[in-house]
Amino acid sequence: MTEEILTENIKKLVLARLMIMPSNLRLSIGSKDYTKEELQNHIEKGDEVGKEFAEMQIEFLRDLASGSIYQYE
Amino acid sequence: MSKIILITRPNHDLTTNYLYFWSEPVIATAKKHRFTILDLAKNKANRKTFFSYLKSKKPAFIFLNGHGSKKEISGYDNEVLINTNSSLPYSPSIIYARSCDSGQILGKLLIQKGVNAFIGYNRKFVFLYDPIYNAKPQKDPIAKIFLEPTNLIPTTIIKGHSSYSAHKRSQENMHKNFSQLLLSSSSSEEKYCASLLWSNIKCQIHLGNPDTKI
Repeated sequence: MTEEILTENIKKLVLARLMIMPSNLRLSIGSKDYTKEELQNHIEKGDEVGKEFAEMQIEFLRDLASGSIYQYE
Repeated sequence: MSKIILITRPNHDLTTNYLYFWSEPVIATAKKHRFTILDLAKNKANRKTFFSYLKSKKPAFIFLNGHGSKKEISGYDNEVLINTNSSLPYSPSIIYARSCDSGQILGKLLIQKGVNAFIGYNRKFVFLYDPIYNAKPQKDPIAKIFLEPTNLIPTTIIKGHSSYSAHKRSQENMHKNFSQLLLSSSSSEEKYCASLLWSNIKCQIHLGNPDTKI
């Protein structure tokens, strides 16, 4: 995923996931921390931070759909 | 091997400040178990002091907190402490790097160079936090969801268990938190942590001999 360009559909999905992030929280990822608005900018730009965040969200949704989060050992 | 633990815990930005404070329970556990603790806190987490302690004290267990990448782990002000070109003066039993990405290349190389076991992350280690707790990160209930399970790695090792059991115990504790976050009784803040905690569960890795103890 990080090597790929974020498609518009993926961006929409990840931005929708981001919208439910409580605005008071910040995310520490890599060497920086980000507000919800800053993450939104990174996702829209499709830069490294945006792609990392998207990868995490897509993996979670995929594992939720497959049921693998319930089979974790 | 020596009953010595070396901890690096810089505090030059918000992320490292959280790791700095969240390392304190580990230090307390090490003290309780009568370890000698080489605490490279704040600006002591620099390359010169780090290598000086490695040469003179040869700690069995190295616990690194700081920013990382595939090829390096840094200390105070992001000074590189260890990278793929580093030669260690001896072979530590266990290294745990609470930093991003270092499991991908650096961890594997350290195993090739003689470290018995390496625990780290093969992509970004992430955590959410509430800025109102910046002055007292240990009180932050959101950061606790992410950081408390990672403390189980060093504390389990300090208590004499193997490196792999420490890694698994941490993952299981993350998964327990994860399951609780999905419950309807969780707050919206807690629920939002789930997807990111899931990422940490999946990217935490153990390399080397799983039976390594100190």
